[in-house]
Amino acid sequence: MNFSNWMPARFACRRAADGSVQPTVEWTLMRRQRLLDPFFEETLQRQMMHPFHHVFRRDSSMEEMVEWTEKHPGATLGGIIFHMSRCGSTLLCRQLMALERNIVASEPAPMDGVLRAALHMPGLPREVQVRWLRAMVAAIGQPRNGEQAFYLKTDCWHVHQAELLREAFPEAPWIFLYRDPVEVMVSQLRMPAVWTVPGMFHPNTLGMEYSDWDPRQTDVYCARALANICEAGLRAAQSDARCLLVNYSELPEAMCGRLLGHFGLCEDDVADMREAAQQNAKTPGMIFERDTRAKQAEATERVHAIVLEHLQPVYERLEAVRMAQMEALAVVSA
Amino acid sequence: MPPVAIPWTKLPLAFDPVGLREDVQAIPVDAWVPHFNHQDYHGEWSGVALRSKSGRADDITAQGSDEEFHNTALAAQCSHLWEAVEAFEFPKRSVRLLRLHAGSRVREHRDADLGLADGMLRIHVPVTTNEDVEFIVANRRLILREGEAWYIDFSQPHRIDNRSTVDRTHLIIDGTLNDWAAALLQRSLSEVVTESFEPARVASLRLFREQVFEDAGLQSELLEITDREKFLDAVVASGMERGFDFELGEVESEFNRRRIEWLERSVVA
Repeated sequence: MNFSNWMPARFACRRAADGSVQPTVEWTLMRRQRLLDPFFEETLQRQMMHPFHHVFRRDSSMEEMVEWTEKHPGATLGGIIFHMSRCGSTLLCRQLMALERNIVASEPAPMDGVLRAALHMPGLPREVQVRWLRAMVAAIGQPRNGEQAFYLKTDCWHVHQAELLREAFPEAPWIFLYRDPVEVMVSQLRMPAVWTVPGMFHPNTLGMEYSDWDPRQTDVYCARALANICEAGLRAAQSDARCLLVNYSELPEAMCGRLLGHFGLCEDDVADMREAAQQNAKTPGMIFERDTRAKQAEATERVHAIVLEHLQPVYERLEAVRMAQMEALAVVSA
Repeated sequence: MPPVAIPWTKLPLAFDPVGLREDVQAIPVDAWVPHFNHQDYHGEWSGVALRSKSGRADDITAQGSDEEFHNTALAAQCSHLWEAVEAFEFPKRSVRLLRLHAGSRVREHRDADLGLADGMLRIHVPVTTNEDVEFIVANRRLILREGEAWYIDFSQPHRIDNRSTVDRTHLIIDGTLNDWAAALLQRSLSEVVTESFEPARVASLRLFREQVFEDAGLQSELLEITDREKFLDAVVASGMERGFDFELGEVESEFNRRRIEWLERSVVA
C-alpha cells in the first residue's frame, strides 16, 4: 500500500464480527491539496462533498499505518501548539500556513482519535499509543507539496496529555497559548464549544467529573475546565524547557519575535507572516483586529466573579512564568 | 436479556417446507397486494397478512407500536404456516407472507424501530427460495433455506435481488421480545453456527476500489465527475471496462455506508 497521496480522515475503533475492537484509520485522497482552512475538519468537510471521497475512502489497520510511516516519516515536526481555546491560536496557525514549506494541521480529528483511543480500548499499552501518535503525525505531515516542517495545533484538551506527547516527540518545540480569562469566558458564553457540555463530551477528558456539572451554572463548569487546561499548560512550561508560554496580547508579533527561533523559522519568513496576520483568522477576508476591548466591555459582573474565583489565580501564575521565560531569553540575547 | 446488538442468527427451529409451500399455493392469486413501500423496489413485491392491525388479509403494514393485532381469515386456512407461527412463543404482532417476484429486487434500505432495543423482533421463515436469490445484510450475503428460521436485525442496510426465475416467498413474523424469545436468541448464539459470505459483486467492488487506490489516472478521471448519480454510474462503467462485474447496487451501498459513517463520526465523542 502506498499512502503518500492520502490523508488520515478519521481514526475509528471498529467492532469486528467477533466483538473485538479493531483500531482503523480511514484515509482520503488528498493529492497535492494543502490544508489552508482555519480548521483541518473544514478541508475534509469540503472534500466529502464529492462522492468520490465516500466510495473511495480507504481503510488500514494502525499497524499498517505504523509500518508505512516508518518508511515515510514525513516532514519534521516543527512545533506543537497547545492552547486554552478562543485565544488566537487560529491566527498563529494562519501565520505558519503563510509559508509554503509548512504543513499546518489545526485540531485534526484523527489525532484526537488516537489521543483518546484508551477510552474505547481500556488497557491500551502506552508504548503502542506512542507508536500510533508518531505514525499519525507522520501520516498527516506527509510532504505532499515538498513541505519541510509540520506544525500541529491540538484541541485545547490535549494539553492534559502533554507527557504522553512529550514521550512521543521528545524534540518538538511547544507553546501553550492563553489569553485573559475574562475574554475567553466571554467568547465561550457567546458561542459555547461542544466540550463545555458534558453530555456531548466526556468530562474526564477535561479533568472533570459528571458530578461537576450543574445545569444552572454551566459557566462555572466551563471556567473550571479552562482552569484545568491552564494548570496543565503551566505544568508543561515549568517541567519542560521546550515549552514557551505565549499570551494572546503578544500576537501577532510574537511569531515574528521570540517564537521565530523557537519554531525553527528565520528572518526571511517575517514579511509573509506579518501579511498573513492582517487577515482575520477565522473569517478570511476580514482584517484581524484585537477585540480585547469589546470582550472586556461585554463581561458581566458574574463573569468577573467566576473568573476571579476559578481562573485568575492560574492566569497570574502563567503570567509570572511567562515573564521569567522572557527575562531569561533577554539575558541570553544580551 | 440477550445483547441488544445481534446482527443475525439462524435459529434452532425448522419447519417442513412442503407443508408451508402447499399453504402458500392455496392462497388465491388476487389476495396478494403490492407492497406499500414503492420507492424501495424494482419489479414486483407483494404480500398477504395472516395477522394484521385491521384483521384484514390485505393489510400488510407492520409498523406502529402498541396497536392490537388480529388474525385474518387466512390464518385459519393456512394450518402449516400457522403451526410454524405458533412455534414462536412470544406475543405476535403482524404476521405476513412477502413475495419478491422473479427478477425483482428490493433496493438497499434500513428499517428502524423494530429492533431488540425497542423490545421487538422479526423472524423470517423462507417458504420458497433458491440459490439465485441474493439476500445481503450489512454487505454480507446470508443464505436462508426453505423451512429454516432466522432472526435478522433489519436496522442494518439490507437488499434483496431475486435473480432467479421463481418467486421468493418468506413468512415474516413480528413479535414482542419476551423471556422465551430472549432465551431462544441466546441459545442460537451459542449453539447455531450462522454462516455469511462476502457477496461476489461486493468482492468485485472491493478489488476495483483497491485498483483505484493505486491508479492516479483513474482517480483524476473519476474526480472530474461531481454529480452523484453520474459519478456512481461512471464507477460502474469504469469497473466494467476493466472486467469487474459489480453493479450500481454495490456502489450505492458503499457510498451510503461511508457517507453515513462520515456524518455520524462526531456522534461518539
